[in-house]
Amino acid sequence: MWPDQNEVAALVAYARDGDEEAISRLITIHKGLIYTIVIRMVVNADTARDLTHDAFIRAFRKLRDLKTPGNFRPWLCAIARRIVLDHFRGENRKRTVSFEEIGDIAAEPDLAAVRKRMIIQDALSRLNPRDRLLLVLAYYQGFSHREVAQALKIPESNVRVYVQRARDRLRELLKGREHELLS
Amino acid sequence: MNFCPESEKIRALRSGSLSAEETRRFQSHLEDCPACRQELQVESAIDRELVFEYQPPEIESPVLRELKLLGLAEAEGNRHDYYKYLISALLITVLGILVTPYLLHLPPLQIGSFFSPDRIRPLVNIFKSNPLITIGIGYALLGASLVFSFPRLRRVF
Repeated sequence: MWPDQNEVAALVAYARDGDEEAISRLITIHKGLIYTIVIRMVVNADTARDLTHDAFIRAFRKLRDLKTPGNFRPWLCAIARRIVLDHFRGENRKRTVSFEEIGDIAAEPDLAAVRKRMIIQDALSRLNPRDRLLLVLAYYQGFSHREVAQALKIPESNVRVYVQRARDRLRELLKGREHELLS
Repeated sequence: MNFCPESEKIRALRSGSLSAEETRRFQSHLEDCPACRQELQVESAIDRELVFEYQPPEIESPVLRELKLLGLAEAEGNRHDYYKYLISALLITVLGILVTPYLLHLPPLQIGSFFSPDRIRPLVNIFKSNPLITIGIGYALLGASLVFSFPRLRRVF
């Protein structure tokens, strides 16, 4: 359950003053979202952990730049996106997904679920980074189109169409793997 | 998988943009069309995976540790605050210099003669004869700088 904007805004105000408890709480609230975004983008669990860490460091060091504290979530997502894009500039993107790369999810007991996740992750990794982020944010629980627009710096009115196109591209990439997804 | 032209309606069905009548018609079509049923199941399977949230690692402690090493958010924040306070202090000083002569019934400000001994002397006399004013102003400045310079104190107030 996400806290309301006022609670986040209050935590941001405390964090700006260096309150460690507020910083820690903001990380706890948002780390699932940021880690999910990052791992969907980079695939590798170790890299995702490092980049999630870097995203929070950059966010808290730039907290003064956040004009509206209630917009912390999309602002943080935009930072995570930049961190991932910087990472991509540094190395070639991975195109295929292996069990080793998604280390922590491979520990899940339900192998069929892991297999499906890998298929989706593999298809996602072949989308362009913007489409990938669009889908991750748009499908993330409680994320509004306004927040998606803010995180990606695109007009809110275009979000629905862009998400649908990205979803269609993903479906296209999954052609021929329907039986694996339904097994 | 066989293609069915009706499968185009699956997206509309999932987004809830079909009318009640269209939904009813498409649902009865689904009963007779294995291709559409499978496509609907595939779409649902993709959705289920897309909403999956990965279990994040424990990063609170490492992030806090690194922020401390880097001087925390506080350090960056204070730097900005100091600019604000410096500008405010300059504005108050300039305003004080402009307003004080009027308050003390001195002749209007003339830049050239502002620091002449005639102008300074009455001010000096006031502070000399009323040391409490000087002490009060000193404490007020000290208090203000403490309150505004230290975020934790400022929050308490």
